[in-house]
This record gives sequence, C-alpha cells and structure tokens, in this order.
Amino acid sequence: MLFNSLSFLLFFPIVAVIYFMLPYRFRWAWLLAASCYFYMFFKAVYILILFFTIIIDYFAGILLENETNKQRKRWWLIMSLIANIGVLAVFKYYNFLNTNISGLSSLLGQHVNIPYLKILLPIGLSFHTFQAMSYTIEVYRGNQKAERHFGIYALYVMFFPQLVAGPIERPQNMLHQFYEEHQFEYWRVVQGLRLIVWGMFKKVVIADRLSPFVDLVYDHPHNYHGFQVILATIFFTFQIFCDFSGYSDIALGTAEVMGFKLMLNFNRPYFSKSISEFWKRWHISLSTWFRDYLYFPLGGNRVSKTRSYLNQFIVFMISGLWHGANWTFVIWGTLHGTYMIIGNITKATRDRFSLGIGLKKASGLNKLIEVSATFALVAFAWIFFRAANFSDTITIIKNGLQVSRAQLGIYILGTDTYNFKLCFVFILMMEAVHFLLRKGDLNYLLNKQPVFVRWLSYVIVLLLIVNFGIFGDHQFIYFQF
Amino acid sequence: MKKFLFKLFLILSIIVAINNVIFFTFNLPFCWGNDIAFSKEDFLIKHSKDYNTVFIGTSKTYWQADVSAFDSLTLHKTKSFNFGIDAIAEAEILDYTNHLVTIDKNIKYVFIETFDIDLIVDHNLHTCRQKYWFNFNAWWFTIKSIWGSDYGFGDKCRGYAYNTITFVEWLLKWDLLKDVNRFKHTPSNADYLGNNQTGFVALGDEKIDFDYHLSYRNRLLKDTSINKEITDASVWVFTHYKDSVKFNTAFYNGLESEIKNLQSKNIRVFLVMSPRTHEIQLKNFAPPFMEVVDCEKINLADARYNPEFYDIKNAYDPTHLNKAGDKIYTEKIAKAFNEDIAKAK
Repeated sequence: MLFNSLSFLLFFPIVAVIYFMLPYRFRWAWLLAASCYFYMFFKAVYILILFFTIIIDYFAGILLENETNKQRKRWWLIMSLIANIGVLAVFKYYNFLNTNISGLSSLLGQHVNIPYLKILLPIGLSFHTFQAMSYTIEVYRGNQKAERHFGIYALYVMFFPQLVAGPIERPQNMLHQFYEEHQFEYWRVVQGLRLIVWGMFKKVVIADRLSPFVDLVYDHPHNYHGFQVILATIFFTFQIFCDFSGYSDIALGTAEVMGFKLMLNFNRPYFSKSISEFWKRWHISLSTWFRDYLYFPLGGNRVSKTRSYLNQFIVFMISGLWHGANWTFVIWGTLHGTYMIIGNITKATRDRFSLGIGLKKASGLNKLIEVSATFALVAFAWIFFRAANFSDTITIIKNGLQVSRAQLGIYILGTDTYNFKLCFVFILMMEAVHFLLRKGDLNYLLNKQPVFVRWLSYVIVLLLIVNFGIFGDHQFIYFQF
Repeated sequence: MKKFLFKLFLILSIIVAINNVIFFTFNLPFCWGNDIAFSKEDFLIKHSKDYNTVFIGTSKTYWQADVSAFDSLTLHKTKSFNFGIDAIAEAEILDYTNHLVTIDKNIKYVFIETFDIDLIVDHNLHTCRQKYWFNFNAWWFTIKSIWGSDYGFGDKCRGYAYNTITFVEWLLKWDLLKDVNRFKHTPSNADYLGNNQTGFVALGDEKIDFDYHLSYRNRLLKDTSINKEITDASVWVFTHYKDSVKFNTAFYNGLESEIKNLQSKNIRVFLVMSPRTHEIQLKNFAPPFMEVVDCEKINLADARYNPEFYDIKNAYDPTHLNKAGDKIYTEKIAKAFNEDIAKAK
C-alpha cells in the first residue's frame, strides 16, 4: 500500500482509531495484523519471505543471548547474517551476479550458462533485512536483550510505517515502544499529522510533478543535451529528496500519531557544506547503520589514514550496492566514497586557501560556495543513480557537456510550461521552509508560532496538496530497494 | 479526541470553503469538465433562442436520435437539439436537464433518456469527467438508487465507496485545478456537434474516437451471440419485471420529481427508454420507467414490441444502432410525439 494512495487514506485512520480503542494487551496484535495487510497489499506471497527472516532472527536472538561460549555465539550470529544476506542475495543480487559471471566468462572465452531467476524483488527487502540484522547484531553485542515475545519481535520488523522504506530502526529505539501504553494525545496526533501533510506535499506536489520531466530525459538520453540534461539532473536531485524524505516524514508522522517515535532520516541535506556533512543529513538511518555495523568493525578512523580511507571507500561501495543490483549504483556509492576521501585529504589545503583569499571572513559567501559545491557534486552523482545503465550514464554526461543557448527556451523539457513553472515555485517554497527549519524541526518551528500562523500554514499546504498534488498511485523511488 | 475532531472538521471546512470560492471566481461554465457536454452547452448558449426541443441522454441519444430527421417528421413546429453525452449515468442526465432548461427558456419539449444508476468504476474513478459535476443531489440520488437496485453486494459496496469518494472530491475540488487549466486552453469542439451542428452524430460518421468505437463494433461482428444475449435480456426483463425484479423506489422518485419540476415550468416531458441495454442495467431502470404515470413514455427497449432494434442488421455495436437503426429509432420517437401532442389537443 502506498502512503500517497486512497487506500492508505482509508487504512490509516481505521488502524489508528481501532488502535486507540483496543485494550492495551491486544494492540500489538492489531498493529501486526495491520502491518501484514499493508505489506500484502503489494504482493501477498512475499510476506512468506518476511516470516522466514523473522523466524530465523527471532530464534537467533534467543540463542545468541543464551549462548555463553563466545565461539558458538559468533557462529549463531554468522548463521543469522548469512540467512538474511542469503535472502537478499537470492532476490536482489542473484541475477546481477549471474549476468556478471556470464559476461566475465565469455570475456575469458568460456561459456557459463546459469539459469536466470524470473522473480520480482520483494518490496522494501533491503530495509527490513537490515533492520532485522541490526537486531541480531545488537543482541550479540549485548546492547539489546533478546525479544521473547514473538509477536512483538515480528512487529519490530514489520511495523507498517517504516516497513518498506525505513527509517531502518534499531531495536533499542523500537522494541520498548511496543510495550508502552500510548494514549490518544492531542498534541502528539497534531504533530504527527503535520509531518504527514508536509511529507505528502513533498511527494505529491513536488516529486511527482518533477518525475515526468526527469523521465523524459533519462528515458531518452540520446535526445537531450546541455541545459536539458543539467536541468533534468537538478530536477532529479530534488525529486529523489522530496520522494524519499516525503516518505520518511509520512512514516514518522504515521508512527507519531499512534505514539511511536521513529528516528529522523533527513535533516535538510542539500544545505550541507561538505559531502561528509551530507551523509550526516541524508538517509541518516542507513548511513548510521553502515557506520555502526560496518565502518566501525572495519576499524573506523582509529586506524592509519590510508586504512581509514579504504574503510570509507568500502562502506560507500557497499552502500551503493545496497541500493540496487546494478553497476551504476556501485559507481554512485564509490563516487561518494571518492568525494569523501578527496574532501578529507584536501581539507587543510582548502581551508588555507579560503583563509588566504579572505573567504573565511565572509562567512555567508563561504557557506554559499560550500553548499553550492556540495550540491553540484551530489547532483552529478545522482546521474549514476538515475540512469538505467552505464552506457546511458556516459551518454547523459557527454550530452550534458554540450551546452548551447538554443536549449535555454522554456519548452526545453516538453511543452507543459504550466507544470514546469510550478516545479520551480514549489521547490523554492520548500527550500524557503527548509531555511526556516535551520534551528529546529517542523514541529519546533510551528509550535513557536501564534495560532493564526499555524492555521494559515496548514491551510496553505493542504490547499496546495488538494489543488496541485499529482495523484495516481505513483510509487516511491526507494520502494525498489 | 473531541477537540481534535472539531479542529479537523473546521480545517476541512475552511479548505472546502476556500477552494469553492476559488472555483467560483474562475466563472466556469456548467459543463466545463466534460468536453462533449461543454461543446454542446457552448453551442446551445450561443443559439438559445433557436431551439424549443432538447433530447438529453447517454450515447444512445447522442448517436441515435437524429434530431433533424425528427423535426422533419413532427407535425408540430419543433426545432430540436441533441444533448446526448456518452458514458453518463441518470444523475448526470437529470443534472444537465435542470441546467439546460435554465439556459434555454424557449424549451417546450424535453426527451429524457432513462439509463443506469452508477457508472463509476476503477478506470474512471478520480477523473474530472466524473467528479466535476457530482454535487450533493447527484450523490444522494445515486446512493439511494444503488441501495434500491438489483446490483450484487460487491457492486453495491463499490458503488457506495466510489460515489462517496467522487462526491468528497467534488466538495473539496480535489485535483481539479489542473483540469481547469486544461479547460482554459481547450476551446469547444464543433466535431462533437455532428455534420448538421445539431448535436447528433451517427456512429460511423464521428470524427473523434472513431477507432475506439470501431473496436467495440468488432466485438459484435466477431461474436454475434452478444446480440442474442441482449435480446433475451430485454424479453426476460419486460416479461418478469413485475414479479422477479426489485423495484427501485429511489430511482422512480427521482424521475417523478424531475418530471414534476419540468412540468411546473410548462415543459412537456417524454421519457425514453433506448434499446440494446445490458440486463443488469435494464433491471435497474426498466421497472421504475414502466411505473411512471405523469408523462409520455416511449419504450423502445422492449424487444417484444421493437424487434427491429435487436436485429443485427440495424446494430452498429453490441449496445448501439447503426444509421438504419437510427432512422427507425427517430421515426418511432417522432410518431410517439405526434400521437401525444394530438392526444393532448
């Protein structure tokens, strides 16, 4: 079920109302049933895969806690991780691996024929698999007690607001919340609804409006050049942010209405002054997952500089692969890793240079340059993320360099000037709001305002959704992961 | 909880109010959301003094009632306009009827087609064409009629849900602004008015959607058993409607009230039931039609008395007539009209 669908508009109020009406002891079961229904709305049979990993990790957790022998404990963890990664490998990476092995073998003059699996990727597989893995790792590390209540554990993996596209939660943050008795609290419900409305605005008013322009160029890369490509790439930069952060806001809001606090996933990432700051603000739940469960175990930055850079490189490469079974994603991740390393290596020189030319003193201008440069680097990397394959990526980059004045007309991306102008207006509006949010989140900002301003904001955003929303069950980009 | 619900209601009311004011300021014509209806409305407004007779109905009226031929056959001075629109349900027919008699005060005779209650399905849910006009009266009439209909449980549930969603969308003017923008850039299209500019277009002569209609025609040509099905359905419904078909009181009351409303404006009303209709649709509107007593009724749907309409040589597609069928259809209406006027005198 999509958050931006009519089905969800009916589903969520029913779930929330019944949730608050039910006696406390039945609520977990209700939420679990609702989550199963939510997931089965996409493709019912794939819930079996979820159950498979839930059962494995549930017992793995108990075994890990009961085991006193360190060696055996380690083995239980490895087996649980293999089971989780195995599911990912089969459903997400099997065909990718298969294609690459076939390609490599034919390069070597061999012919390896591995059968192709005709399966659809279960929606949100990477998200709930990572969430399940964080549970077993935390139990192994002794940071989390094994959950004995099977239903609660299943709910931890399946909780519908964050089931298909995160935030990827940690057991320490979530499990205890399922035992708490949440009452209907006016202020909390209002805060949750504000997030839902803001997320919906970003998704249906901006992301889905940008989508046709982006698709036009990226689906026919040979036909577009220069400014057209640049504009489509900038549009995609905003589209993916609005799509994913919109989803996250709706997830956080939905959970908050029912009394659950999910972790923040986005914090105005396009205002970052460096790539390393960008990754502290973009998809926070994933970047911290990789930091805690991969970067730190590899040694983090408590090793030699060279090793630390290598660790960063590995983490970003795997992060790229996590997003999709395609070399373009790997390159996207690797590119960010490279940005990070170059950024770290050149930091001292850049600082000296800024100081030397007096840029450090003009802090506003300095910030603007840093933010713009980071934005440009991130936008360039999105080309690899959005292009269908490597050859399209090369075409887009090549064509993007062929700039001419002729491409500057308003009709450069199709003939729909009405939507075209609206895209700019709404992006500016969103960024203006983001600028206001620099000192706190949406609820912090709104709570400080007088009633009139709060209501005016609600009415404006709701009117924009009603009148300018693009409706029609457009999927969220990150659902494919 | 009360405070929350009150504030939620308040904010929704504000949205409804503001959006309705915004739409009011656009000064949109009544039929702005339906290209065919708008083109016909636009023409009728510009020629409002020219017509005294109007045919209002579905595609069966649009593509079968040759109003020029009708005018030549009537013994009384009629100048008719065809306001048939394809794919509309009875609530929309009644809505347009009420509107047309206000824009053309010269109208003396109205031919209203009786047709099905609910046509909102998955593929046209949320479309401008369905929601732009779907006001409270239309929603209430449809909901009541679905309740009293012969639909199965599943279809009734779908009907309640889809019609209510459509009504809420109308109330909020949900996602209609883009359609207003499209409408502002779409002039009325004379192709919808036919060669004689009377609103009638015979199937086979249409300049728009020709291929789509042709593919529907091919269904009949490929499988002539459809013809037998439709004929049998008509015979069965008109033989058994009194004892075996549920009487739809809400639909009947809706028709009666519309007739009284028009008669109060000195308009003579003719209810028309067109041939070649699917069984489930016929079951819903045939019994109320048969029971209406306050106006002239022209029953062309009963295959027992109108076998020529169920002859495949007069059919264009499973549910519409070809030009030969149109001729008979129009002649029969003209004959009934002449008889009625003569009787009235």
